[in-house]
Order: sequence, then C-alpha cells, then structure tokens
Amino acid sequence: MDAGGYDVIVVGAGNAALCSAITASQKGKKVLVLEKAPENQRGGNSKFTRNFRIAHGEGWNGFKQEYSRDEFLTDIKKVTRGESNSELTGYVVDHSSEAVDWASSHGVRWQKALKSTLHLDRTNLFILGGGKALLNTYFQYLGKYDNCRIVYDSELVRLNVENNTFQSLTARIQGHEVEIKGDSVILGSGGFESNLNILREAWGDAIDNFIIRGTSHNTGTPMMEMIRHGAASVGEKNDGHMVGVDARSPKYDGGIVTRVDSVIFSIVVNKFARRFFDEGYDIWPKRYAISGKLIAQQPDQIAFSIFDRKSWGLFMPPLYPPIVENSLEVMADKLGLNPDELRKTVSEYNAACPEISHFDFSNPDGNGTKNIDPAKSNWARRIDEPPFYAYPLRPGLTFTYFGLKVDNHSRVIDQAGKPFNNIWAAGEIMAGNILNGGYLGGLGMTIGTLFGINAGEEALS
Amino acid sequence: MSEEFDIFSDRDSTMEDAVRQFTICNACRYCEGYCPVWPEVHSGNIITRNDVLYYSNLCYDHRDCYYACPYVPDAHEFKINIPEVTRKIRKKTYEELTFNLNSSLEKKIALSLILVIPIMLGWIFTFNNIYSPGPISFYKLVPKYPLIAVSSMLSLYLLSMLAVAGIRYRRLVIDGLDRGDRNTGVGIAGITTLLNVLAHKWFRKIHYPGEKESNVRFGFHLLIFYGFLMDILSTTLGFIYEDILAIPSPFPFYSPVVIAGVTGGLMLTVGGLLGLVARFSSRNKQPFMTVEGFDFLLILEFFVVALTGLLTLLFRYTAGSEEVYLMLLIHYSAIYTMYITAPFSTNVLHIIVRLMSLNRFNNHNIP
Ligand SMILES: Cc1cc2nc3c(=O)[nH]c(=O)nc-3n(C[C@H](O)[C@H](O)[C@H](O)COP(=O)(O)OP(=O)(O)OC[C@H]3O[C@@H](n4cnc5c(N)ncnc54)[C@H](O)[C@@H]3O)c2cc1C
Repeated sequence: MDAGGYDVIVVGAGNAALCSAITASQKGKKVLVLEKAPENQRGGNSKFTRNFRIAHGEGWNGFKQEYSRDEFLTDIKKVTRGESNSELTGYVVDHSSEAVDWASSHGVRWQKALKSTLHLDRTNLFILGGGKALLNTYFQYLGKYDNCRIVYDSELVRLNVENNTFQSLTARIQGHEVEIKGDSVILGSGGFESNLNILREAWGDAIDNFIIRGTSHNTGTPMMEMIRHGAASVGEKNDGHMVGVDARSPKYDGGIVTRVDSVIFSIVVNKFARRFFDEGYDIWPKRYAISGKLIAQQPDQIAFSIFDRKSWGLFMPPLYPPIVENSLEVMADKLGLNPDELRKTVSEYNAACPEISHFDFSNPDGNGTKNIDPAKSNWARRIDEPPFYAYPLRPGLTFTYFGLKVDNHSRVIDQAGKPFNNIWAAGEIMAGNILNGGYLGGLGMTIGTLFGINAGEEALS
Repeated sequence: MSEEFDIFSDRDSTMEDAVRQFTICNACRYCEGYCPVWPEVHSGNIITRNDVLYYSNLCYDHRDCYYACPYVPDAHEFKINIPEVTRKIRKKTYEELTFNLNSSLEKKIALSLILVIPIMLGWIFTFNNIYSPGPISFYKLVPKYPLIAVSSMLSLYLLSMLAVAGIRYRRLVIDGLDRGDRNTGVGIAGITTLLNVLAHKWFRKIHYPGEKESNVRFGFHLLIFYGFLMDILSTTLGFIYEDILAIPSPFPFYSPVVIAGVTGGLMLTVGGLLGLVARFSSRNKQPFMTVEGFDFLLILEFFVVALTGLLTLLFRYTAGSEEVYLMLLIHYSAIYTMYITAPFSTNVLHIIVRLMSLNRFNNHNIP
C-alpha cells in the first residue's frame, strides 16, 4: 500500500464518495478511495436506493408534469418544520436537476416510475436497475482512470488533524493498520445507523430489536473522528427514519424488500394484542413511513399486522410468506399473543367498523370506525373471514439525522464556525444540514450527488 | 443431472426457490425497466409456480438484473440469481415439452446418427448412379423425388414437434396464468411480437459473453436467423425454378437461387462460428452461472450444415466428382441429423416457447 502522496483521499464508496472520486479523477489528481466493505458488498446504502428527487419542468427527462422549485422547497420545509439550513436547502433545490444531468452524462440510465410508486412519478426520477446499477456504472467509469485507486476491505479508523488541517489517516486495510498521507480528505462515509453502540446510547436496549435496513458497514467512525477533532454537528443522535419491516428480516442489509405494506389493510397490535395507532390515517406510503417509530415505542418493539381473507392479494407481499391460520386463537398462539386479548381486540374493532358499500384502497375512502380508540379512519373493514393472516413487524432504521455541520462548499466546520482547511463531507454524513427530521424520498441521492461533486471540485482548488 | 426435478410439481426444490426469489423481486421492483419479465412479475401480487414457468420462458438471459441486484448469492443471504434459476427452469420446461427419452444429449445424437447414416447409405447404394457418365449432378447421389419426400417428411416431423410443444406449453403454462389476457392469437399484439422478433428487439446490449454489455448475441442470432431464412428462400426458389418454371438445375452462380443460398450459408457459417466462440468464452467469465447453457448443439448444427453446404458448392467448381459427392453426403447427413435431433436438442424449442411467451407479454401489455 502506497503510504502517501495522494492529492485526495475519499472515504467510502457510496454515491457521494464516487461522485467526489470521479470529479477529482477527471482533473488528473492522484485519488485514493478507501472502502470499508469488501468488494462484493461495496456501495453502502446507495446500493439500495431507487430514485432522485429533483425540481423540473414538464417534459424534462420524460416527466409529464412540472415539479417546481417552490414546491420542492415547501415539501422540505414541511417535513423539517423549517429547521434546516436554508442556504444549503436552497442550493439543493436550485441545482437538483444538475445531479441527474451529471449522473446521465456518466452513464446512468433511468426508467419510468415503478408500478408500486406512482405517487412519486411527478417528483422523482427512477434509476434503471436501482442504486447498485448506478454504482456499477460509476465504478466502471472510474476504472478508466489510472490516477484513481480503490481499495476494499479498508476502514478508516483514525483521522489525524492539526490546526484544523488534515494530516493523515490511519486505515485498517485487510486487517493491517496503515497510515496514509494526503493533501485533502473527503468523507463520504454515510451515517452511523449500523453502529449499535452509538445507537444504544440513544435508544437503550430497544436497539437490539431494531432492524437496520442498510449496510452493516456504516458505523460512523469518520464522523465521530471529526467530532473528536472539534467539528460541529447537526441533528439529534436519538432520531432517525424508521419504517415497519418484517420482523423476520436479517439484522442488516435487508434493503427495500423487508418493508410490509399490509398496514392499511389490517389492524396492528402490540405484544399485548392491543391496537396502538390509527392504521387507516393515510395512504400507505405515508403511513408506512411513520409506523416504524410507533412500533419502536411499543414494548419489546414488536407488532403484528393482522387481516383476513378479503385483503390477501391486495397489496405487494413482503419477502416472507405471511403466517396463515384458520382461527384467531391458533393465530394468537403462533404469534405469542394472549388469545382472549386478541379475540377481544378484534371483536371490539369489528363492532366499530361501518357498513361498507364502496371500497377504495388508492385513496382515503372515509370508511372510518366509530367509538373506538384509537380509531381507524379509513378502510375499516371487519376481520371476520378466515383464513387470518399476520405479519410480524419491527422498526426498520433507514438512516439517522445526526451528522457533521458543513458550510456552503461542503467543508466541515468546527464548533466556532471556522471551516477545516482541507476536509469535506458529502452525502448522508452531512444530509442532516438539510433534512434534520422527517422524510422526503429521493432527497439523499440528490444531496449526495451535488455535494459529492462539489467536494471533489473544491478539494482540488 | 441427478437432482430430482419436476417443475410441474409445487414441491420441486428449484421451483420452490424460484417462487421465493421472484417474491423477493416483486417486493423490490427496481429492475422493472430492463426487460419484459419484470412488468409481468410486478403486475400481480402473489407469485405462483405457473407464473414462474412463464417468466422463465420469457427471460432472454440479459443478466442486467443479476448485476443490478444487491441480493446476489455472493453478497447476500437472500441468494437471488434470476438468470441462473430461470435457465434451470427453461431447460426443464423444454425437456418436459419434448420426448422424454431420459438420456443424455450425446446419446440422442449418437442414436440419430446411427439412424441417419444407414438410411443415407442405403439410398446411395440403391438409387445412386454417381459413376454414370455426364456432368456432376446432385441428384445422382440421391434422386430428386426420394430427396423431396424425405425432406418434406422431416420438415413435417419437425414442425409437428414444435406444434406439439407449443400446444403443451399453452395448456400447461399460458392457460394457467390467471392475470389479464389469455388470448394468444394475432392482432396488434401478434404483429408486435412478429416485429419484435424480426428486429431482435430484446437482444441488444446483453451481458454476454462477459460482464460487459455487448451486442455479440444480437449479432450471431441475427446472422443465424436471417441466414436460415435465406436458405429456406433459396430452396423454395430452386423448387419454383425447377418444377414450376421448368428451368433445370444446376443453376449458374448468378442465379437468385445460388446467390440466396450462398449468402445464407455464409451468414450461418459466420453466425455459427461467432456463436460458438462466444459460447466458449462466456464459460469462465460469469462464474455465477452454475448450469450450462444448452444452445451449443443447435449453434453447432447450424454451423456444420452451412459449412458443409458451402464446401459442397466450392468443391463443385474446384474438385473432382468423388469429393463433391462425399461432401454432399456429409452435408445431407448434417441436415438430417439436425432435423432429427432438433426436438431433443432442447434449445430448438425456444423458437416456439419464447415466441408464445413474448406474444403473451404483448397481449398483456398492449392496450
Ligand atoms: C433501503 C433504503 C432505501 C433508500 N432509498 C433511497 C432512495 O430511493 N432515494 C434516496 O435518495 N435515498 C434513499 N435512501 C437513503 C440513501 O441510501 C442515502 O441517502 C444515500 O445512499 C447516502 O449516500 P452516501 O454516499 O452518503 O452513503 P452510503 O451510500 O451509505 O456510503 C457510505 C460508504 O462509506 C463506507 N464507509 C463507512 N464507514 C467507513 C470507514 N470507517 N472507512 C471507510 N469506508 C467507510 C461504506 O462502506 C460505504 O461505502 C435509502 C436508504 C435505504 C436504507
């Protein structure tokens, strides 16, 4: 391993890091990419993504309708309650379409909104094949540059910084610690959502019941190293985006396929067989985006989505087969619930369901329960026709909001507000400057691309 | 292959695994824009065995989905490998749709060669008069009417094999699909299917023979496809000239019969050679494919038939009569071997099965 002389060291090999590495390589600089994961698992959470959110006019890249900058900005403000850095947010909104243009000009191809995601077909552009295909294209592109070297199985473990200036870093490369010098460093190493130790500080032992939807490699060491060197942070450690996922999913790396879409078609009960939220509050994309947090607040972080024959086949089934039983009692046994409690919950719910003449799952249909708490405000249909179906649910953590504070050039800044001289951060590691709460699908890739390119350019000047 | 396999049973382990894999795919959907398979997978919610048979036979083996997938066996416990599992199921579908002699391909070839060669030799000794005086004539080796009779019989045999396979495929698979249109007839969808085939619409930019996208398969399939059609054209023209226009063979080299025949022969030879080279170089490049492809025999046969045909023609102008007749004998044997083994060389069935699957796709997706 060459120990020094790099113009730019890029930490990570997800979307943001590769955008930086390409930009720097194109300028002929000597670039080193350090990827913690082995080659076959490279690409962080970016490999699980599917789309970019961009403001655009009608007709742009095949969009049938406009999504204006104002609307985009309003959407961000709505989910973040106006608390994000307005300059950076404005930058993302104004330049979002450049992220897609850049990706296209580097070989990325697009596709029509997926069949299940029509609610996003006005605002988001979908990657043909998803994030891993995008990354493959970028890796292939980088392969053309002899001045860029990618090393896998190489984890940054220490950053050596003096007087706000990056000196060198220590990396564990295939088990051996090596010190590497460089003129500048770009941190594209994602969040800390797979670091159970940090998460435990915020969530306690409940974290053992969480499923981490993304890679197991985003342990946040580079971020924490910068905090140790006095970098300012944004967001809260105990906050993250969570969805309800199948409880049988692997602890890490399940990606998109573990989510469960049955919520609006069902009642959701906790381990005491009691309902705890309004399952029919809104159509599933929004519903699913908050169910995770609600489950995280339940005892043992477990819940069960239960429905009957009438709803089977109406939604995209998740990766595992449902649990199917002909009686609620046997079902309760199978799920480890108290049969009497479950029967009671279901009959109370059934009694509160309205007589339904018309059913429409694509829109809130106004078929709400009466005199029951919590209510189910739409699609309240009796659960009374066997067989009964159930999916066990756990909170699935997508990402955390906590990150490094950056300036307009994506440079990391210290607690006094002074930028570090040669340290940049791009992607999830700094996305909290813009999205410090809530969720807006497709924002992460747009942020990562724009700031990845910027960091790559800035790191050279 | 010793593993127990019955794709028409739910308990088959490969089928079970394919249903599991496609169910995961259906929960993801990122590949939707790649090929016809994905819109079909995503058009319903619950994946059945029958669906999987259909998807597998619609699959062109582009492998885009393999490279885009974060869940491939090498990287993830979900072990998704659609190109491999669909290939396994395609192979077994074809085997199910042909005679089940329960023997290896080699045995089948040997068997048919054993059948073909005595018949050819029998003819020659019974009917031929290659040593009679006069110019070289192909009919001296095998006289015209026996030749036509045997060729038509073999063509009929092949066509009926394809038809039987098609009918069985429709009954076993297409009719069992419970979503959307079941009509497999003509109409706009049928015309689209035909145009798709003629233009080789789904053959471009395939990860074949290596990981990099290429048009190698597009190229060799196009050459073989149109080369074959050219040779059919040549034979038909020859028949029209001789039997309708009463122009006796041999035809001069500038006659449309010869031009079409030679062009077709060249296309088949080049296409076949390209196909064979690609086939061999693909072997080590994509280690994720643990089941061998089964297009080898068919490509080889096209190649040998075309090459021996061209050589016969070449000899005719350059060599002595014994060489010409020997080459012609080899050429005939190659053709008949191809015809006889066709229904066993399982890849021939892709002609009908892929066509029907594509047509079902067009029926389902064209309003
Ligand atoms: C299931 C899922 C679906 C999503 N879908 C979308 C979507 O459709 N659109 C969207 O915009 N966003 C989506 N997101 C969010 C999106 O994944 C992130 O916003 C984005 O990928 C962040 O990119 P990144 O490059 O910053 O980080 P990552 O892609 O996570 O890359 C981080 C890289 O850093 C490496 N690394 C980490 N620590 C170290 C270390 N110490 N040393 C060396 N390397 C290290 C990792 O191995 C990895 O290569 C999704 C997230 C998940 C989990």
